[in-house]
Amino acid sequence: MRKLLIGVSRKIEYSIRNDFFAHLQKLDSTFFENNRTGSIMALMSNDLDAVRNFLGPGLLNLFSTVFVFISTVTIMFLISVKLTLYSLIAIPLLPLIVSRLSAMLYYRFKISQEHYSLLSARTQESIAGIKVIKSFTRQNYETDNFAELNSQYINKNMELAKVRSFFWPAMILIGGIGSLLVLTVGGMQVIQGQLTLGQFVQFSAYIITLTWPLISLGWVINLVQRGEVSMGRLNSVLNLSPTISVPQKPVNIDHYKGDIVFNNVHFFYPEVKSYDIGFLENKTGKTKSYIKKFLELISKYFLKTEDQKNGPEFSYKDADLTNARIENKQSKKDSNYTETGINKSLKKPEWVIKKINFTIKAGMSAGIVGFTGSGKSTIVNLLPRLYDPQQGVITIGGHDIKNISPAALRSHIAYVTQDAFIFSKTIKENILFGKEQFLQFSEANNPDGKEIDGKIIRASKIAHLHEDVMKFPDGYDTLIGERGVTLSGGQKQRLAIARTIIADPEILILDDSFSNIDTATEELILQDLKIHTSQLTTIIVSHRISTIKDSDIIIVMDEGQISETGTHSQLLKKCGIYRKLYYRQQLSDELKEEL
Amino acid sequence: MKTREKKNFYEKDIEEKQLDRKVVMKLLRYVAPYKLIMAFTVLLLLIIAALEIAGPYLIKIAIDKYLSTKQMDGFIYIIILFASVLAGLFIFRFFQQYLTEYLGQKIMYDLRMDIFRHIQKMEMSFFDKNPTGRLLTRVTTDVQALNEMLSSGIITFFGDIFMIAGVTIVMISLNLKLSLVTFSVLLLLAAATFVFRKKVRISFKIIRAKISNMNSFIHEAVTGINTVKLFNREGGNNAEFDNLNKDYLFQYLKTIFYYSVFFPVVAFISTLAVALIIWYGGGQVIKSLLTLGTLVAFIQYIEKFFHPLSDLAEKFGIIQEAVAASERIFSLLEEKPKIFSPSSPVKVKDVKGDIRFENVWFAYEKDNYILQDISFTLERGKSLAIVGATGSGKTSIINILNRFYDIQKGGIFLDGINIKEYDLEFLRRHIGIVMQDVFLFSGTILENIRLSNKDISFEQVVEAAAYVNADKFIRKLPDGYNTDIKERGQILSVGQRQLIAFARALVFNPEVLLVLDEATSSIDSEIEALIQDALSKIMKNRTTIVIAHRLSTIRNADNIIVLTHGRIVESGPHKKLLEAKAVYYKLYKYQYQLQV
Repeated sequence: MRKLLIGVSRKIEYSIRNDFFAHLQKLDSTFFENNRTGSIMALMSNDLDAVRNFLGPGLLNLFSTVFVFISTVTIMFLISVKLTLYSLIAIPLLPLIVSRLSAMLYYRFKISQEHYSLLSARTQESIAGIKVIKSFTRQNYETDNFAELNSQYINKNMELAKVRSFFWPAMILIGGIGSLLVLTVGGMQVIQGQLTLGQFVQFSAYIITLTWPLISLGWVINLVQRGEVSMGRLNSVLNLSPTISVPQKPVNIDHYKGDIVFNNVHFFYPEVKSYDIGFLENKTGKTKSYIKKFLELISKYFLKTEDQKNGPEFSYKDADLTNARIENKQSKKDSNYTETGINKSLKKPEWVIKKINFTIKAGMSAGIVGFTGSGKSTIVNLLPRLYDPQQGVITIGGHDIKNISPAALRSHIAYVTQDAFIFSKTIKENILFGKEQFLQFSEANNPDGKEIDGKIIRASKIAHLHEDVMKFPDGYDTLIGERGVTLSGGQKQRLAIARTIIADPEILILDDSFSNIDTATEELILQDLKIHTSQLTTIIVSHRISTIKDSDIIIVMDEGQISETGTHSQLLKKCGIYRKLYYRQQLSDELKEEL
Repeated sequence: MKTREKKNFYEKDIEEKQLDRKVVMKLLRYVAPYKLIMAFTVLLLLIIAALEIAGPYLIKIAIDKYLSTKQMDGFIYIIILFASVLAGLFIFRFFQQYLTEYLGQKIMYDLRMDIFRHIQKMEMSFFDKNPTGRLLTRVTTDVQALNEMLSSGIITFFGDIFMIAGVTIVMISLNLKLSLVTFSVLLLLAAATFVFRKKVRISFKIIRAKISNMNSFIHEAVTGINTVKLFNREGGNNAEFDNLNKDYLFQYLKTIFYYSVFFPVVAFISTLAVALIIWYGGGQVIKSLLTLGTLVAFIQYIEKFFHPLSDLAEKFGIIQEAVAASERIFSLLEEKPKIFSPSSPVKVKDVKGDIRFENVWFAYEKDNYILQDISFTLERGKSLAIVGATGSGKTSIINILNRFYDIQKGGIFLDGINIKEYDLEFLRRHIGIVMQDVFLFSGTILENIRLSNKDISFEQVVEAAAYVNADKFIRKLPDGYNTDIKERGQILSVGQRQLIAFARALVFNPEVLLVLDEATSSIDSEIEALIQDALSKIMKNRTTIVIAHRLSTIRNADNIIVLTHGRIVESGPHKKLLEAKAVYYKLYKYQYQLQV
């Protein structure tokens, strides 16, 4: 029994965690900008634990309570009906107390969680803003402020504790009243000869057996309340649907070699309420719905196992399809959540980029320059649909990219992002990131994996990473990241380039991808890229003029708008930002050479 | 090959985590202030144990004295006593629970304050090493885990010990022989518990490692979400996560196996004990060597004996978790800040603002000197502009002057006294900074300018804001000075935030001001003029070091230093440097002239 229930609860936890993770992967960048990593991780640990505790130990105890209760009471009735009725006199008090107190528990637990959020947010700010705090010597104020939130939080917890401390002793008391009545009434009956001493002894033993289930019932109710609050928090994220929608009937394009056209594109970063707030605003909690939720979870779990039986191998294509299916289902269920968030901010849009018009011909190279914050990166973020523009249309080869599924689009666009996020895996795994199907394919055909190694080395050589890798102890199998070798900024960027070009993309975006690489190497990489990928349409974002000066077209950004376009020589003739930037950089290069 | 690597990565952090004495001692330090409450709680536990033991004893008396002799007189007193025991248990339990929670919360409060204060004390390089998320976890989740150990661990442990001890004593005093028979079964139980603990401990160690693997994976997947999406790796990530999740599940199912063996074993042993008591005790009763009441009491005591034991097994996981958390917390608290006030700081009333750098060498990391042999003097009220390419070490000069970082060689002097001799807070209070990346706290504009310093009046804030040309746009905001700024201040433009930073610096009125004025991107010309004007205003009659970008600022500075690769290559006023026709001249010609 124990093994079964706890085991099932663990399995359900496993499947919720998987679902939750898969759902997270579907949500778009906006969600992650508005929710701190810490809170998301708290959901996946603390809240999930609470749900599991409710499902496992909680239900286990509930079942055993009911079972023990019924069987004991039956036997008691067989011994003495009258005495049994007496001993159960206090039982009707139970639902009364439970329903009153559990509502209180739920409410106070929620408030305590709210304050926990506040405390954690404040701490986060105090750490992130430490420089300001130190330089204005505001430590004392920060500490006082923290102390206040801290004491508010423990006060709320104490209010919760009051109810909790009452609950358990109250349950024992109810059980105790039964014992008392048995002692009184049963004792009198024995003395009067209506009951034998043996029967009395037997009876008092049973009444003690009854006390424990009552105690554990109190504990179970506590778990149920916690579980419910946490399930609500989890659901508030699970019910979110991604704002980047998958088209109902995506167009299939064989190649992405067409012109890239931005037509009057406007965009701002939408603000989505963080799930914390969304959840807390929804104060009309339905206290009785947990049984329904539980049934849902159980059925989901069993359905899930069936699914797995049908197709144990997780293939990438399937994943994509199921994703799309789930998305559609969920967007029907509830999507006004995110929509209202956007509508609200739509009232007064502060465009990050506006009136963006340009065409990049197939196979050409384009450079985008401008100051930091002028909207360069934003433009290239729109192309692989990390965000969708609020106004205007972006087309590739005449197809509106909104009609192409994000997954298909992204598999043809190689994008080397600014931050070069490297995973704690081996170099090989990092280069093959997202291209693992190569590995499976080649392993099937070619057990040595030589072909795939050749591909990796080729990409690595183009990115000028190969020599560095050879210096590592395990070559391409060297583990990097948190627990392995730490790469320098330049090595990270070159690795990011290598993993991007290995798939032979049709469109390549380099967003400030050379900032930690010296100019000479940068030049070499750019040259090699040109040699090996002649058909490639390239977009290079940079604040370094030298990186983009040979581009077929240069787009100069200023305050979210295009201020000038043209080739290097054309732009130099204009007395604009480009010329300013050019001279400034030429000078600093000269200075460097001189000294 | 792939699997081998995986193993290295994923099973690294399985290590022994036992509740060692050191951690307990440190924890006890936090309990110490609440000795009285603690003592009272323990007292309550004693009373509760006594009352619990009294219950079966009363029943024994009732059976032996009244029921078996069918005597009514005095039976009522037993009932009254029994009722008062029940009432007493209810009341004492309530207070005991409440006090335990109170104790836990108070200790958590203190611990959180200590961690928070400690973090605030740490030097900047500490924050370079420790990401915000990690520090946040120490203050929130880890403290929470520790509380669990305190309330469910230590306190219940006391209660259980009292119960076991009390029951043992009463049993022995009731009947020595029967007690010995009962205890013989307990040896079996002890053996079972020992085996169980050993098995489960190993499993828990592995489980903890699995959890931490899963967490680092989630952390990477969330922080690197854009990369994941761009590479269409969602499916692959899901599969990989599924594996980690499954590992964790299987490991857990294993402990469930141990548990589901252990609990029936405990149940079996306790039933065995009851059977023995009835078999042996029953015989004794028949021979009238033992009263029926004693036998009944014994059966009930057995129950009270076994519950604490299985309780301990249940709590095992919680305690393991808490030990890990407390180790993390204490290792953070033990890390000493490297930059702190001297034990007897110099006592000065006012700061005049003379600054001198004497052969200053500075490196963030060992031997990689960012600043090399920097010397200059700056008289009070004068201004100094530092120019140079990115990475030439300009920002570092600011970072070392108010001791965000300490220098390795040379000395920095304020009014002729080495800055290391000043009280740290005193030093920083007199050296203001206007940073390039303006950090805004969530709160109103007003509070952001005066940083919640209530000594600064609203009028002073408005005055300062008006002086640096910020008043106008602030008043245009929906709630004026009381407009709420969200974290990161999205409603303000870069230029506006810069002006707020100026107002902030001005309202604190430091004698020395450090201004980071690097190429701020998209500031429109209107606000640019406002900033230039504000900058020259706040520099007036104040010792100022400005990392300059704007020509107007540089030209107006009393002195200019040109920095290349951490060395001073040229210095002097604008005119003199132009005449020298060297580095600055070139800079000026190509770069700054274009601004005009």
